[in-house]
Amino acid sequence: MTEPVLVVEGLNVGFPSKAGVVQAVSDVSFELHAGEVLAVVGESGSGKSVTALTLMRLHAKSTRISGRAVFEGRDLLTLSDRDMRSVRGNDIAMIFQDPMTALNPVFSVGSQIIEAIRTHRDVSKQAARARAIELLDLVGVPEPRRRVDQFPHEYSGGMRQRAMIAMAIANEPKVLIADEPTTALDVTVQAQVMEVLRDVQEATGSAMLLITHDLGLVAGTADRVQVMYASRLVETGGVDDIFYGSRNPYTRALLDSIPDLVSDTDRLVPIPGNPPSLLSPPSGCPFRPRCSMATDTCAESVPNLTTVGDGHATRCHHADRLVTEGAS
Amino acid sequence: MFAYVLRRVLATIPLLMLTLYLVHVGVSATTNPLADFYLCLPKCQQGYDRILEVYNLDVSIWLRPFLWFQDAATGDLGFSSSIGIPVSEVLRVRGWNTAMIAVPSFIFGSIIALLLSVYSARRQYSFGDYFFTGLSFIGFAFPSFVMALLLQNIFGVQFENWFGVKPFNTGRKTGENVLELLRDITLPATSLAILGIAADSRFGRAAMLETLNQDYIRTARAKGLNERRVVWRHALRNALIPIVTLWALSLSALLGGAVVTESIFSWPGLGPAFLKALGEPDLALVLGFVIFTGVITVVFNLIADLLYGILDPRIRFD
Amino acid sequence: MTTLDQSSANALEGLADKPKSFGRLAWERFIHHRLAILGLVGLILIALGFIVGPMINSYPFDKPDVLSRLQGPSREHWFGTDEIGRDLFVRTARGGRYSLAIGLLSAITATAIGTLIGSVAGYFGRAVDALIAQLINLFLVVPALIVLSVFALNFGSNWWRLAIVLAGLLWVRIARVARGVVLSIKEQEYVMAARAAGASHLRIITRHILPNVVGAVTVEITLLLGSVIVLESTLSFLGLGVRPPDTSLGRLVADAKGNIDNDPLRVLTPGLVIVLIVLCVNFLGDGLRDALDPRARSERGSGDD
Repeated sequence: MTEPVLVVEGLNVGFPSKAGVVQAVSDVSFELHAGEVLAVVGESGSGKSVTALTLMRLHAKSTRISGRAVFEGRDLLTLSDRDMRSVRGNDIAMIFQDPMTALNPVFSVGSQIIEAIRTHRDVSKQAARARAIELLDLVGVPEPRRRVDQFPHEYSGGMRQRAMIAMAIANEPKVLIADEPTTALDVTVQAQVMEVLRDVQEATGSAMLLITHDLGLVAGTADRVQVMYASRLVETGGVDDIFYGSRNPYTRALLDSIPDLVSDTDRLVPIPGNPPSLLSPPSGCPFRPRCSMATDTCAESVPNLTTVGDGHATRCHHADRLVTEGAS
Repeated sequence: MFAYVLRRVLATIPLLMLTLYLVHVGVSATTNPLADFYLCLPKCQQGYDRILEVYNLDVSIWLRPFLWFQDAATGDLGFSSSIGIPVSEVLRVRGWNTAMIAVPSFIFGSIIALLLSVYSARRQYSFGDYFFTGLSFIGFAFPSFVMALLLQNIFGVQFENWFGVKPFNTGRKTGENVLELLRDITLPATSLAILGIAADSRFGRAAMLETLNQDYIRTARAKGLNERRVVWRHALRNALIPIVTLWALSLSALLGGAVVTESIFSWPGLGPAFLKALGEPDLALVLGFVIFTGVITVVFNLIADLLYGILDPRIRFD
Repeated sequence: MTTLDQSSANALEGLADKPKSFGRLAWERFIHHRLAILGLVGLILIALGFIVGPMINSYPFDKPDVLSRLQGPSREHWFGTDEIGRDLFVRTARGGRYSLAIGLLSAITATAIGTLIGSVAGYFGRAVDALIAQLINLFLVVPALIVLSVFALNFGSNWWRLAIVLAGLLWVRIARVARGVVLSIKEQEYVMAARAAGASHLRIITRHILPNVVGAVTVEITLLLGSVIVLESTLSFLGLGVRPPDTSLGRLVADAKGNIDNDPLRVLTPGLVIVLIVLCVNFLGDGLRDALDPRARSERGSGDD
């Protein structure tokens, strides 16, 4: 295993509101290694996007943050604005969910890529423009020479996301954060864009934090997976461990709810109930109200993240009960 | 791009013609220059006939606009009975005076409003934001004549009482040289400008806030751009789109406000002339004035449309 | 596999309370908007002041009392007296009553016309809409004061005629809003669904469209009221509005203007009363907008216009 590029320890993120503090992220710790794809999976509201935005320090001023996020020897969470700005788009880059709204409609796509380049590199406009065309070509935008001067509304959805990727990798970042990169795209386009993302990541050797709710995406792309629920990390491990040997009831339930083309069932299996309020979470394990294995112990305390295998950890009082099928 | 401009211009011309037509009919319907003559007939028959001829009153009201258009096309807007010179002369001389207070008011007002909007949006919820927002709320509630009277009183008599001198002229244009001219226009222009700032900054602030909430602003920050660039280049450029259309509308309000402000400060602009013409009634001048305003309004809306096309590439290409 | 009973039982614990209706949510938002409540209370107090005040004060508005001319505010004459000794508070209250009456009548008329025409345009679309939309744009663009000056002079000789003239121009603001709402709702899926289920035009209009129109139009009405009061007072100030024996706040300002250097208070008092009224109306409008359409706002505090 290579050296970790990013080490997050005990991250807590809360949003003060009139009704109290909404705790969006609780006690999240993980490591990201060079060249690997770490998928962060969870429902809406699980805290996965907030984690990413917080690492990039793109949060609101009133947000309450504690913990550390060490990147290249510095704690991102305590960096000055100026230093953080030199990290963003340069060492750590982010791709957002909806490419239509994520690109400024009044500037050409090319000028926005050029801007990303020239903010961090001292190059001439012509050189930057040439590089922009190169990047567009790399991500598979057809006729890059013509397209570079076009506006976002002249691109299709898939092309726009490719352009976003091009913009993100322009300065060869060490970490690429992709926040639901394909959610807003047509299904047919999703696969293409994921392929571009994978190719680009392999070519640049950067680490990727892939945030998604789509387990299908995860299976084909990720090296490691961590599952989040109600602001907490509930399981983390290699992609095989998670898919074939999960030791967490929530992860299991998620996997069970995926429609399966192969097996012969006529009912979908959803997870009953709703995610808990982040304003006033229930006592004990956050998944308890919806968990089929819940006991009184689960109501008493939040389980700790315990290691159950090599690089595999889970947060469940009854993880031992889940050692049935699969590895670990 | 040129095609867009051409299309907009061509689309405006019918609108302009329709506006002028309706205005002409409307004004003709509501004014009766023969009113004074009824009592003195048959002695003043000659005067009666002359008026009849000048205003084409024997022709159907629905056809009169065309006769007016015919004359106007050759530059003949008629003769102003209340002032005694051709209408086009009145418009030219008085219009120039009005421009002297309206143009600086518009330019300074718009720029200040823009700066305030950006400031307020960036420092939302700060004391400065609440302060300026509050001020603009109050300013927005002032009718133009109350604002003008207030300024006239404070900077006129009251100022004189306290300090013994009037820094700005509160009435009657004196201006021979530039300095005196500045003293003359300051109060009326400021009065107009304050009202414009109050209205524009409320709108501008909302436009900026909405823009700053957009996803592409987050992307810009994620690229590592400094906040100044994010606000002044990425955000403002987008917020200007609705703001520019507001400018065209506020010009209409400005013309209305100017009428009132000019009469209070005894400024010899179009306003007082118009009011006098209404009273007589000096139909030629009333028509000339209203149509002049109509043309200006339509032209400025056209300019705003064009600016919109320049600012927003999405519009250009449909 | 999970057993449904156990997990369902657990899930029921997390069920939320019954969701509140739109009306109730709107009401709650409105109540919490402090400025709006301030505006509403302010308006009520002002209106009461205009109506009840003179009864308490009991000086008739037109009785000269040359012995007490040009007094400042005092216990007997709350706003002082004018140059022939008439009580200024009573005169201001009277002017205020007229101003409010004109404003209300105008707003109601404009709303009736505007809602009808705007809704028709939005609902029936195409040719009808194109025509009405063009008309609306035209009316919106012209400088209101100038056009009104011409018409008010010749049509508006008493207060309610003036109100009608004002409504005659300003109805377009309501129409524009109504049309916008109707157009956007018409395209919504639930309307199409109702149509597919065979609902008649009337039913669709009353059940689906009107409730939404009411919200947006109500907000616009408050803004309109503010504009009407400003326009009417300006017209009256210029001598183009109400004529004696009618009066209004604008007219009172005009009456006092001649003596402004000596007696600025007499001029500015009715003027500031106008400002106060418009301010309250604007606060109220802001609160209504916040209550009925919170999506339209992206911030607390004041809204846009």
